[in-house]
Amino acid sequence: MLTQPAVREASRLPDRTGSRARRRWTAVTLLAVAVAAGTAVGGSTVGGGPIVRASGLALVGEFFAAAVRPELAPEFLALTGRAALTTLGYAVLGTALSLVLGAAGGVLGSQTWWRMGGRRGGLTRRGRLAWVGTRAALVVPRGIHEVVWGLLLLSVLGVEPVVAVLAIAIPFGAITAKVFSEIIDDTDRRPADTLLAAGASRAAAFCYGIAPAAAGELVSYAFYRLDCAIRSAAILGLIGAGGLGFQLQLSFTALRYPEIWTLLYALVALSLVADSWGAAVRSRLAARTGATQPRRDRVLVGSLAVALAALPVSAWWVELDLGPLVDSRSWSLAGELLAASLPPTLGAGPAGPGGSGAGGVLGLVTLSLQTLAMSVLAIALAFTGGLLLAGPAARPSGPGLGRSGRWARRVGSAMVRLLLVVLRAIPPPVWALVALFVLVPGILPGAVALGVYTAGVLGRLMAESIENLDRRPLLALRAQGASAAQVFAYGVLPAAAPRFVGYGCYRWEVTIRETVIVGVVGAGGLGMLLQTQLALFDYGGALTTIGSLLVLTVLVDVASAVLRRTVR
Amino acid sequence: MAVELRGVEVRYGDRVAVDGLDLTVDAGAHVAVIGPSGAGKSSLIRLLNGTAAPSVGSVRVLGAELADASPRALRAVQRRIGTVNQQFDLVGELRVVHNVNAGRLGEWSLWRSVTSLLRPREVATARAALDRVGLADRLTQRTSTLSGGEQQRVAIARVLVQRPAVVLADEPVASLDPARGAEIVALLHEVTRDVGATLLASLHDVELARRGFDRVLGIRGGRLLFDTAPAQVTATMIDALYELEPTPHIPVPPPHRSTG
Repeated sequence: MLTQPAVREASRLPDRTGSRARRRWTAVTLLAVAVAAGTAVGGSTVGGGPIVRASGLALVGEFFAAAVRPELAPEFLALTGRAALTTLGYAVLGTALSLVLGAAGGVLGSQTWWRMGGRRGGLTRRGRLAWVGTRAALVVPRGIHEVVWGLLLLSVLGVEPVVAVLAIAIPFGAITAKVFSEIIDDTDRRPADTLLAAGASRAAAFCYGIAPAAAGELVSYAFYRLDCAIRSAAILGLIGAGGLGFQLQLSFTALRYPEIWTLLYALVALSLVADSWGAAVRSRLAARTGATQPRRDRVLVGSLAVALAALPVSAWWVELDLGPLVDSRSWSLAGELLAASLPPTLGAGPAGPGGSGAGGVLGLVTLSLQTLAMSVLAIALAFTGGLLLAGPAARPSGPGLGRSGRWARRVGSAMVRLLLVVLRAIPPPVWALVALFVLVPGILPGAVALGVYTAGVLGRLMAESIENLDRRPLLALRAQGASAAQVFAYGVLPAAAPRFVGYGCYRWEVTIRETVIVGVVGAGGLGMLLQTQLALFDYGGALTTIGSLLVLTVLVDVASAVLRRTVR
Repeated sequence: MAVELRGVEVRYGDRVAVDGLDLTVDAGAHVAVIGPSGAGKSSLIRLLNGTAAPSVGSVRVLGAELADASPRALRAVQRRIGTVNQQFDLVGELRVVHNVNAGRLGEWSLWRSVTSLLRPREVATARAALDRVGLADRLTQRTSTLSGGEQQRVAIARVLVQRPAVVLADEPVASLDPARGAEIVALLHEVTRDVGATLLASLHDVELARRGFDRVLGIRGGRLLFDTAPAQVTATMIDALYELEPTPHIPVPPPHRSTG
């Protein structure tokens, strides 16, 4: 059976620990959320003013009211279509390159590959060094968000399509490499070992003994990455890459809400197409596993053909030009940029408007803590929201409910699932812009934006794990006359809680990286500082800020690993 | 001389898997190795196909010393040694033809190996090998859908296309029922004889070791207890071989990924 790709990223859970440790960690988590919420609210009221602008509420109302009357003028629809194709083009090219990088990095980052190189199937010292080296080399590209890569590459290469492609391909390539190497290491090595014992070369033994067994998981994950790349490509539009994100920003600046919704629906549609295409391929692959005589599957062959054909078409559509990459001017500019960023500084000028300063070491630490608080508050909001929506969103299955009740439930759960799709299809920066109507700039609107978006993601993951639960205990509770909410509290929650916390931790790791993308639209934190520094060509300061973001990322990864071990 | 072991010891940490083994096997001989679990049968097979190195001593297979061979020299010998394992070690996701062709990888270039996955090469050879093991009609079937006995036949076909000079079998029938097991051992004898190779098979079942083998080796605690013709193996020898230790402290081999 194929693993759900997002689940695969989240599911490397270590061993369980005692309940006392669990209680202690629960207390620590709740405390952290309280402190984060306090920081966010407190930080926003620092000027003494109110944190909520009542006047903005009307704007939010207008914004959501426009959802039912999107702009449908033919010219604007044509514009949206072209922008959607541009976003899709970037996503396709970025994903393709990231898969190439990921495949190479995945093989070199797997223990299996280096063990196969060892003479007796063991890990030699050189093999271990190469393995650890590859894994370590992936940490930095993975820890820096697409938008930051985009901003950096923009400084060197200028406004070029290749910037968007690379900005997606570099971090996605590193994440893909990590996941691919884990898939490879999870694959049974004995068939390959037998081939090695018969004198096959390492590469040939890998192609016959490992690759076919891992192929299904790899393809499945590749499609998931395409889905992610569409959202990233749209967000990169906000920093000048064109496409849906760019149009979104134009319409937002002009406050033309109906246009915004047309663009958002286009984004939802792209996302849905990629998602259902991936799901179709996944189910076909799973069906092949059981077939005695696997035939040439039209969907699979067609998908491969479409994917290959999409590459040159995308390159033509976005007018991809690799010239800037080999241009000596770009390289000398890169050299200058590097020279300008060394030594890293704390930024120039005053902190806040007009300067790119972090406000000294204390200021940098404060900003880092605020960014951390933003991520904690965001994930707390997302977790709560996801939890509330997951129960209703889960498809009811099997008997146990009355016939009429079942229909009502089906319609209801479809509606909630649609809501989850909308929540996660709208990029966090857009949510941030909406939040900024009501909330004064700061980490609170950023946290709300990330929280709303992530609630959409977590809600779906949680609903899926509810659907996969053992039904019998739930039906037994139902038979005793328990209400839906009681069944949820007594049957669903205890069984699914460890999974839920696992997903929450995994999304927290993603969210700390995403604080940057709400920062660039003015939601505060290190992301906002970085945006200012790059806009003012303060590369020394930018390097320090990126370094701080990396440190935060690593800290959160470690904390999340500890938390996951606790709940397991 | 196909195989020659001199004073071989294998240690994994504190545990001694093979404890001073001397053994010669003539080319073309069929030798059965029996003994209780953890006696060192798998270690012996792994010494002979070069996937384990002796801590002390010399292992010569087909005239080459494996103990200190360079990787290139080792691979050159390994191409002429075919191994059949208890767990078959086939890739279930591949069609049968590719699993058979995997026996040719030592001879094929990487380009030929990879393109063959898209369009199978040397299909006639693979078909002939499958025909020999009685599975000619399964050429394009997905391997995971075969039964255990059929999968072991595919593994034997894979060894066949390798055209080996030595065939090693590590508990080849331990995962099969008795009737299927007897068939597989008979098949191993036949195909080894076809290509004039030497056969060395470790077995759990004493009865199977009496059928068609020239010699039976009894191994216990990493040492050779007896080495004789099948007809000379007596009930007393078998009892001594499988007798429980007086103390219940039987060393359990640590799990090792490469042993089946």
